[in-house]
Amino acid sequence: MGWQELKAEIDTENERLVDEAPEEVVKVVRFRIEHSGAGTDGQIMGTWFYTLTDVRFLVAYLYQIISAGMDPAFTADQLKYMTQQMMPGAGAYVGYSGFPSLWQFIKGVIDVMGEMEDRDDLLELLNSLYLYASHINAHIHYYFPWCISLNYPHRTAEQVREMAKLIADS
Amino acid sequence: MGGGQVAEYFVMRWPELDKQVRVKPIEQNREVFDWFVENLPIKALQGHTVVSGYGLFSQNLGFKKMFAWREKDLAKDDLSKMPEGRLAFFMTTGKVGNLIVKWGEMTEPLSYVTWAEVVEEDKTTLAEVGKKTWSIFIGIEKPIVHVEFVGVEG
Repeated sequence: MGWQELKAEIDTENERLVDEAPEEVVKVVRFRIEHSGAGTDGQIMGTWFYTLTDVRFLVAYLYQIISAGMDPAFTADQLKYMTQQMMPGAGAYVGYSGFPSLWQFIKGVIDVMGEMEDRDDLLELLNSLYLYASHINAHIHYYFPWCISLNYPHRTAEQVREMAKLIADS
Repeated sequence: MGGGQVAEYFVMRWPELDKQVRVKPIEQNREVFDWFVENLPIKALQGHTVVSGYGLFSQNLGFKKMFAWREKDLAKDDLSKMPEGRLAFFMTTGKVGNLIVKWGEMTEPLSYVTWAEVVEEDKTTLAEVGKKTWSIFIGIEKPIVHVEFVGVEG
């Protein structure tokens, strides 16, 4: 697959995800479905903590790579190096633990960029990947069950004093 | 907007909530406001900040034209001190943006690129949207809410 073909595939997904939630987010976050076995002993919290934060890392890495790319001082080879260095670790991990499509696109970009010489083309391709990862991240943030946090409000000084008294009395 | 006209405001609307507000430029980063208007229409998922306080949060804004500035070169406001209704960019570069719209108290004392603000007359509507979005966000059911940014003709 050439880079234009890959970019067209990512862009098609980007258009769809403006209106539709990514299936992998619906599975892992909304319905707690894992096909890979990720989540020791069948619990989802480990995947939510590590995988979902890794998706956000990937978004942040792309932000940094593209920000560097907006500065003409950075060459195409340097942008390729940053992408090849920063993206595969977390990319492969999220691919295993619930987000194989994101990893396929990351891997695809890394595979084709070696042949790309035009810096502007490279930035266009990276921007498509940045938007795709951002769609995934935005939907993760949306569907995460923040209602759980209602059970964990901040401690108050009054509560701590009461606890200290209970401990002292026991 | 077309024909080289300068936009005085654009509209931010939430079709699922049947609400909309007008957004005007502010005293700084007018070039960012004009660039944003050139990118309209834009549609994104309407999220909410979960750490910083009461802010609408959109993390998947796609642009047609590159955001060519470096965030460190643009004027910024402290999120905790800036007026309610102000729009701030976060991790915005190239053709992707993240946007926070402050609608109530925010605790995060960090500075972000600000470039627009909801007009005074529409801030009550913004607060209604903020409260509704937060109640959806912290609730069990998650009906989807989108935000659309459109020009005045939109």
